[in-house]
Amino acid sequence: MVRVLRVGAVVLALGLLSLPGTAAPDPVAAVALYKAADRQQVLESAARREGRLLLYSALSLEEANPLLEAFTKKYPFIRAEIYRASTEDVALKVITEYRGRKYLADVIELSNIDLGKVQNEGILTPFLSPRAGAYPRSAKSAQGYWVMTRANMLVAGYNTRLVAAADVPKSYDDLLNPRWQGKMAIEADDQIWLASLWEFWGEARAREYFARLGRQGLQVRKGHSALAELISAGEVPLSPHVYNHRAEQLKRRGAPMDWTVLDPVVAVPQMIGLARRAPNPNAAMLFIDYMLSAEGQGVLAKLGRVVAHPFVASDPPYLGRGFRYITLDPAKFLAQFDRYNGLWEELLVRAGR
Amino acid sequence: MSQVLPPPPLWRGRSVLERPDPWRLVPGLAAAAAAYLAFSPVIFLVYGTLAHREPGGILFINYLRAYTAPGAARMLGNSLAYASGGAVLALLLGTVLAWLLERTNTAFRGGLYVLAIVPLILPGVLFSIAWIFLLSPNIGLINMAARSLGLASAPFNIYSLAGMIWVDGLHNSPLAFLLMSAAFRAMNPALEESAWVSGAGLGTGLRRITLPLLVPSLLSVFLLLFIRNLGNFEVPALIGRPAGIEVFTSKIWAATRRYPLDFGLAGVYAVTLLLLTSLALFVNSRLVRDARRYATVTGESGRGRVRDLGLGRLLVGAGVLVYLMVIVVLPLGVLLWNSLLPFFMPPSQAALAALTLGNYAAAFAYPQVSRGLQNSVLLAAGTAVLVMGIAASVSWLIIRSRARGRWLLDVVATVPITFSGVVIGVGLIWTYLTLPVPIYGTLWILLIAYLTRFLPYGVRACSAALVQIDRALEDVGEVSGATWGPRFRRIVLPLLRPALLAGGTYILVVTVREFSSSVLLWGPRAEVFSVVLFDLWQSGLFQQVSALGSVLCAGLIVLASGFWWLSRRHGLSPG
Repeated sequence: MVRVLRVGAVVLALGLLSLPGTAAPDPVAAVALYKAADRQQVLESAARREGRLLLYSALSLEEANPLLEAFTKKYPFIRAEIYRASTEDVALKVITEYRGRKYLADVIELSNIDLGKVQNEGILTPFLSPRAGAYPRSAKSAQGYWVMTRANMLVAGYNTRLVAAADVPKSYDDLLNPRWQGKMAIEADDQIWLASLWEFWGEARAREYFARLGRQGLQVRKGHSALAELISAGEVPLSPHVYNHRAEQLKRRGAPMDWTVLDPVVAVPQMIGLARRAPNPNAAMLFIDYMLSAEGQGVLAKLGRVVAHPFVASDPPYLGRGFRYITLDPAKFLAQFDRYNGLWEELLVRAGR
Repeated sequence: MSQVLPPPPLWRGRSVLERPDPWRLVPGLAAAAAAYLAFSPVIFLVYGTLAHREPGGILFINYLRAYTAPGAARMLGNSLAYASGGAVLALLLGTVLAWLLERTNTAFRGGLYVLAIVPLILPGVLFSIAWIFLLSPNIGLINMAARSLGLASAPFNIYSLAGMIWVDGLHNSPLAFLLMSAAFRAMNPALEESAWVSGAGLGTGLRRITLPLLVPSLLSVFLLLFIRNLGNFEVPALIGRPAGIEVFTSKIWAATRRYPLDFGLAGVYAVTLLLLTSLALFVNSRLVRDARRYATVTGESGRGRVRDLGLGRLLVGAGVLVYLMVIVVLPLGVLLWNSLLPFFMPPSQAALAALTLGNYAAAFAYPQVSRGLQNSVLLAAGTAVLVMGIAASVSWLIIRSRARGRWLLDVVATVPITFSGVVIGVGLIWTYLTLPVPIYGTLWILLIAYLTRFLPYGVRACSAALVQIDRALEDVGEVSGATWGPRFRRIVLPLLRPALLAGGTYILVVTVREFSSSVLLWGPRAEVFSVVLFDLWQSGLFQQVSALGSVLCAGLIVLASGFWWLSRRHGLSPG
């Protein structure tokens, strides 16, 4: 019995020692804010010891794997891996993990809304990257919590066999044409699309517009990529908000799909941030640098994504240029999420059933 | 617990009579493991629903919130309609087939027995996806075929309650078929034959003799299927959610996906689901007990007289073929077809020209896929070995030991049968976010989930076998002076081998398929195959999902037929 107690005491003491809060200055912050001239060498030699990197992102595997491969080619001593799910799910995963004191994520790259949730929970730590300098002020957090890496442009996508060229909608109002009754689908959780237009148009116009849109009998599908796939398959003739990069990709593969801009386009920025308790902070900083560099952005662009770097063009360039787009302040959106979610359900989802 | 165990508790030292034998600890440890697995998720689940609230709030606030939320009543209605609808369809198909197989000389009986097992092996995720490819309003191949025959609009819509019931009923029909076949075999054929001899026609005999005798089996199988359906998450996730039809499992899933995190709500739905399944199981156990009144197996048994259907034999045989088409050929065919397309296309000259193996190359190039496959195999093997090991020791305690409180252990080992995968998932998230055991998001938590889910099946398999083994064989060992360890290893385990092999294979297959716990518990570097499939599906990579699915189906079918072949060669009874 005495032995059992003794063992118990040792275990307890060890447990207490490993509790957070008693530690010396934060090692992750020290790495993240390091800016001496030897930064690159310091990061590289420390990353060599770390040897791993875990990215939490909503990039699809089709895109994430080539990106990580390109990064690993540059830093062969880092074994880079990704945890991928939908952007909402990734945010909740990392939040749950931090509640359970399980610190796995190094770098987190999500939509501004979902990274906003993660930041609200105190999971991000500010960082300095020399590569962030090229970006406009609107594309980075004032306190250094995140920088924009890419954007999802929400455009109207349609099946070219089911929608005649003459009928292609040219404005949001065209979607109210009786021709589209029962022919459109929306993505199940795109409240940000509604919210952005709501802010832009103002309460009166927006409420009337979305109520009328809801009466068109919208179908609901989960996942923007899946939605684009369903349009090209002919399951859904038209959707007001597919990602233009995804539509372009399918079109290039020969699918009967195309997209068109409705003014204004809602843009959902994707941001990159550093986890407060990243187990591999040096590798993490190298990865953030890479994602923000012209080189990394070039890889993303070649994968067909709309990139954020001001001097790197998307491929083809018209994915990110030639139209007006609006974005929404994530703090504002999160604060009013319940309201927008209620409107979303009431006006669009439930009205369609 | 000290009274339950045959050897003295470890802290009291060794008995002088027995030689030191570390094996003596095995049954006690196994019993403790079973108890821990069964109770930890439930305790933390219930605790969580009460603890997750505003400081000073009402104790049952989460319950109030959940039950008064808009749509709660509709969700309950959907769940019951879906679960009972699917069960009825499966039971109907299964009973008719079982009767045809056991009592008539219909054509294609052999093929029925072998092929009908295939859907039992297929993962629910893939079966649902295959049926989406077949019955989706616009891209479903069956709907396309109907439209090309001149129908103005698609006749079927899988995104509906009826669609959910259809997929679920089909997927479970082989299980109903197997269970009902067993019921027919256990029924004394003399009763039916006397009706036959007295000149009663086919209809009268069925109505007055066969069906009434089958009532307890029918009800019992119905409840079993009902419980399974309540806990099913594959169909609600893939078909129910896009259609806006919420059931318990999808509601729980959705509640764990809200921001801010609202585990209280998820927990309440999980507890409610747990109560519902427990209630159904309780009714079932009552039913089985009362079924003794219907006892018809009376020493004399054997196959009932096979009824000659005459020319109808071919007609009914054609019906059997159609059934096999619908549950095996169509789903596997549509997966294979899609796996070869660059993007979704109806069958046509152009599509044939575009066929490619690119999806296979692309899908298997993902490191997540090979790791998921590796993890799934590793977990399945680990689960099968551990479950059968624990089950053998626990069953021995229940059946063989003279310890008091054995019945309690029996209950403990059976309780998890009421836990559906989603309930275990939510319970374990809480357990390991609360306990200082850092396994959240690793393969270990998945292993624990699988052990919890499948232990009752292992215990059932072992108990059933142990009951049939004469105790005298063990007594011989005891008389010859063997301690518990050698006795268990050299006598009990070898005798149990057929049961261990059969049970282990079953657990191997269901673990590889497991989805509803995994989808809540998987983590970085700890992905399993079913979750990878689901994620690729959600990313819209339909063709790559089909490619992976085709390969997985082929693998599982090879595994199952290998086992079937082995068991025939070694004279084990399959199943």
